[in-house]
Amino acid sequence: MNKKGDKIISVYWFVILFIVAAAIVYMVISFYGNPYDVREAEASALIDSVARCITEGPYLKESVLSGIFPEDFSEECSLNFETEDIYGGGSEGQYFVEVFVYDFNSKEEIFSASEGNENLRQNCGLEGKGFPVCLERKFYSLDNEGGQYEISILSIVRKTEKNVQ
Amino acid sequence: MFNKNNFGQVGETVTWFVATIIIVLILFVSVFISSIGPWNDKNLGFSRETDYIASKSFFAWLLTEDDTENSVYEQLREEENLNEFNGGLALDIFEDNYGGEYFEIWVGISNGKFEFLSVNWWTLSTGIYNIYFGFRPEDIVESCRTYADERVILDSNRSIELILKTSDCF
Repeated sequence: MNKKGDKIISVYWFVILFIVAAAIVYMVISFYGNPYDVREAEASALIDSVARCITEGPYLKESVLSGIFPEDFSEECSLNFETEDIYGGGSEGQYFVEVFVYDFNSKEEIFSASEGNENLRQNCGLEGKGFPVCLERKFYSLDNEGGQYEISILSIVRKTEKNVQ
Repeated sequence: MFNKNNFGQVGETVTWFVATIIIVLILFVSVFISSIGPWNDKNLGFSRETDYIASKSFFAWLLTEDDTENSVYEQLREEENLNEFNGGLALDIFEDNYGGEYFEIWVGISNGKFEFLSVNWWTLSTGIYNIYFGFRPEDIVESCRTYADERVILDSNRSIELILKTSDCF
């Protein structure tokens, strides 16, 4: 009877058990530790919100066409770009939105406005972790006199700290 | 005289050693696969069942008037199908603006009758072919919602419909 051998085997089994348990814990943390990236949905919601703000049903607001729609439209459209302190960088915003209104036939620009951190725009089109999500959508609209317009809204959401790991 | 016990002990030790190596290798492979697998893609893509932006374009298109001040809606009520004005305009609006986002786009007149295919599978009957968007997609069923749509009634038998498909159902 090799009692010393039995003790060694017992220690060995505990070591193997510990290694397997550690691997399982690592795999679970690796999967559940990654956050969901909801920025595309967030950018889409922002575009819908701005579109709702500059139009009344299928018609562009008169104030947009007459030029009295405020360029600082965050207040007009009830947009709140404030974020938690987690992002650091103090004054740098996590959002940017830009609106263009063109004549549908001549493609001439009639109105433009932007709000948020303009520096985010240069990162559009770049792929990889750490870059913001850019989404651009267009829609067709009219004015009360039958004029036709194409509206383009660009929405950019950064927030990489909370959505990407 | 050989000590057979020593050879046995060495053999058994090597067995344990190899078994340990195999266990550790399997663990490494498991961890590696779990960290690079497609389930780690946490990009929350979403499919639309309604598209607010496209709906805006649809209603604006219906209200657009031609040179005779006849709106697209009135034209569709009076005529059997899309014409050069409203069909061409629809192509300019929907194909150009949403063609890159959606799998398939269809604008046209449907007859508005529900057809029973089988239990839980209802579909709106096939629409009228037009030269601008072709045939209405056949797999538009409520129980497989892979599309956004908007529909406006023209009369008791017909509707004008916008369908934006994100993927095939069948």
